[in-house]
Amino acid sequence: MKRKALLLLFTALVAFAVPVHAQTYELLFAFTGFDYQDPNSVPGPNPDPGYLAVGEGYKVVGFVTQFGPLLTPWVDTDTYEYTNHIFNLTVVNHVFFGGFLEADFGPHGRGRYYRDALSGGTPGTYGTFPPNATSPSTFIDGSMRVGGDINNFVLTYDFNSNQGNFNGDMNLDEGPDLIYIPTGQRSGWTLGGLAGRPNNTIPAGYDNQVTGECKILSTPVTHKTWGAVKALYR
Amino acid sequence: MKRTIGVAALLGLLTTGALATSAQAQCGTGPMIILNTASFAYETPNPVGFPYLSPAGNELHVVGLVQLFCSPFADQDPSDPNLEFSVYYSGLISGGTGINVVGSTTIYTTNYSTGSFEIWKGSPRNAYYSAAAMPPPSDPSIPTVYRDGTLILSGTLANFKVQVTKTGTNNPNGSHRADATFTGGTLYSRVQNTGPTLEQGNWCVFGCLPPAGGYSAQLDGKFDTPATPAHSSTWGAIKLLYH
Repeated sequence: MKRKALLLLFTALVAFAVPVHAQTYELLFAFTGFDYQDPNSVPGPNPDPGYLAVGEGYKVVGFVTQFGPLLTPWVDTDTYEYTNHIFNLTVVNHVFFGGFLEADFGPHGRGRYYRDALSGGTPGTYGTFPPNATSPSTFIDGSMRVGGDINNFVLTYDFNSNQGNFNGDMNLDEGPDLIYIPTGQRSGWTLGGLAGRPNNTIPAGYDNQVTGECKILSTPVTHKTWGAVKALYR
Repeated sequence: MKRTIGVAALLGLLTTGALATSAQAQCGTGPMIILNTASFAYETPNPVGFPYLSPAGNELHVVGLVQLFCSPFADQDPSDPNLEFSVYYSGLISGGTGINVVGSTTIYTTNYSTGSFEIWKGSPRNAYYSAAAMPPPSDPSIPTVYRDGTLILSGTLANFKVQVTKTGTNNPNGSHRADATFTGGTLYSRVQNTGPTLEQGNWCVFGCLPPAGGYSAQLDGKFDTPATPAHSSTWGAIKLLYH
């Protein structure tokens, strides 16, 4: 009986074990860039209703500034430029009150990073009033390395203090560099970032300067006694 | 003489260009100093409540690393394994956290008094490069290992504000923003007489903190290239520059 119980306990522990890598915060890549609305059917940048009105699109172009441990061995900044692009995000809910905006987006946005040769490639160039002749085209040339499906994307912005942030869930599902990411780690990545203005560095036609990270968050671990664990299976 | 100065200036520019790291291709427009994501905030003497409730009177500290230098510091290479570029913020006194609710979002806003920042260049590397490796803030190495070597840049951080939001069932997420002014350090001459610039970035409060405990946020961010203020002058004074 005891052996049966122990076997059952062992099986349960194996079945419910959380992989070690899922318990630790891990960076996939970090980026800086600028965001813009496209389509921008309700002219902005007035916060309400012009900025991220229902039906408008949200896009980000920028440069990858840091890679996490999974991708670092495969990155060569001496030879390549690395850029990123977030797109296919459409506002489905817009709440504005007291200078504060909450914009909720529909499912299936997409985030990608690209690699383009420094020699012979085309440097990422923002230009003005995107989409334009160089943006996003110079940020999505070369080869797409990793991309993912973005859901539950929310952007909040406080026009009183001129700062905000966004986040969403990203499941990695495309690109040749996907092979460097273990199958068990391709889901659950979080995009986090912020949008800041007024800011003299923002090219005309873009809305905000953005810094962000694609990262997997740690799973909180609770410590229990063997007695408590055993009690779960009695 | 003028020609000599001109040639010297040209050689200087060419030398700086030659020393610029290839990583500068990742700079884009705007950022001058980009922080590594292995940068963390903590407060003393009281703990910060979840998701971000900072007791009034607490002092905010940040210890972290530089990931990338852009012009005019592009000759500084944080990827050099023999060098370490670290940052330390301090003296930011919390005014307490205010809470507001809009739609399904709860907003936690904290303003801090003016504080200071330091950027150090040291060797060999002795700071911590991941959340997992961070000891608690009470460890004697915090912030010591982030403040060794040569102080290359220092200055003030005014209007430092942290805003954390939690929308629906999403994880809380935040940002920080401040006006940075350079005032000292061995590389100060490169940004001397520039105006305040924007220091801002993400402020992660959930799922990203060092397991050792004691930290209130993991951050990334950057210092933008500061604007050069215009000075009024006379034609006579301008002519004098070329005599």
